[in-house]
Amino acid sequence: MKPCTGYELLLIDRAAGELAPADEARLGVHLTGCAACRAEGEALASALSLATLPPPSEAEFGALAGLAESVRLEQRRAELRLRPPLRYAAALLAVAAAVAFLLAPAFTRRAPSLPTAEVAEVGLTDWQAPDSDEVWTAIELASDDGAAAAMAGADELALDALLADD
Amino acid sequence: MRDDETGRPRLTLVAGGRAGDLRDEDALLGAWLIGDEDAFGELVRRHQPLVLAIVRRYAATPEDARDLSQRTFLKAFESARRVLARGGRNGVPFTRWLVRVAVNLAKNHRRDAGRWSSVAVEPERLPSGGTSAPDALEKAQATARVRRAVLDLPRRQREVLTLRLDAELPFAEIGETLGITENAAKVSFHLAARRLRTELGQEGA
Repeated sequence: MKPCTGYELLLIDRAAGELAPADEARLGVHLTGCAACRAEGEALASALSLATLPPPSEAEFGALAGLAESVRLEQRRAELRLRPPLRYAAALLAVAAAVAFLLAPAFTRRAPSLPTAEVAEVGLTDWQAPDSDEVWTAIELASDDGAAAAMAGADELALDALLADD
Repeated sequence: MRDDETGRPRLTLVAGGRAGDLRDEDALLGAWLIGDEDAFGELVRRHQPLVLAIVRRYAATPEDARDLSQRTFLKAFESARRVLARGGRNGVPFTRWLVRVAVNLAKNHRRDAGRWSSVAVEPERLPSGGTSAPDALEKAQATARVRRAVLDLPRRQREVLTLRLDAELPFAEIGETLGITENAAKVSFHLAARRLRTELGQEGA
């Protein structure tokens, strides 16, 4: 059976212990004549009484001893965990400074002087253009020698081939 | 008021009602932000029963509950520092903030724990003294069944039910915390109770 419309919320309030005094009287009058609402009210109270936990045990209260201190400690740990990026940055800066200190003399030493344009000009003035006739003669002689050698090699190969056929 | 030695602002707690509590809460948060360790300790001690009440249903052991409580405070303070540093928290009380964090962590814890095992029976929560072994076993099984039934409720129903039963928050506050109306919270509570009544019918009979 369903409870009467308009009394459902009052029954919940009563089961939860939140019924206003003015409503208490009104609901009381209704319940005396309504079996459905009475049954609903009793069922709600029974279910809620089952679901209600017993008060916390000594062990549960005892486990909370020093909670504030441990929460504070954990907060500090969390704050420290957030700081490593800053610490890493500081360490990196220190390493960079040390490296710069070690390498500084190498950069500040005077670099060896490069050949000047004057020297290069002197070099250019010493150079003399070759005689083109001599160059061409040398090339022709070299190519004649090469052709003759190649011909000689070909003859020998042809002779070898004839001898082999025989 | 200032500490004569350190020159830092010093917090003085004043007893009062709910409005006074909220003012105190703001003052404590402000003091914590400028490094007052006492204010931090007071905030944790003041709220740890509420946080324990929320997370213990999801925790298999007292150590588990402590771990969840610690994580709840850490996360809530971390968010508080971030948001308050930006200039406000849009009027959301720290308590509501804490409850929201506890509910979310408990939900995640349950999801993670569910991957490895089913519901555990906690010996610390079993009734003791004057009961025989079979009776104790039967009650242990009944407790485990109820616990499983509550944890298996749809998320919204479970959150509303546990915030009402365990944290004893009023429906209006539950609605504000979960971002729903007061009536929606009541309806979820009703649906949860009806579902539990059906599933635990044998125990209730």
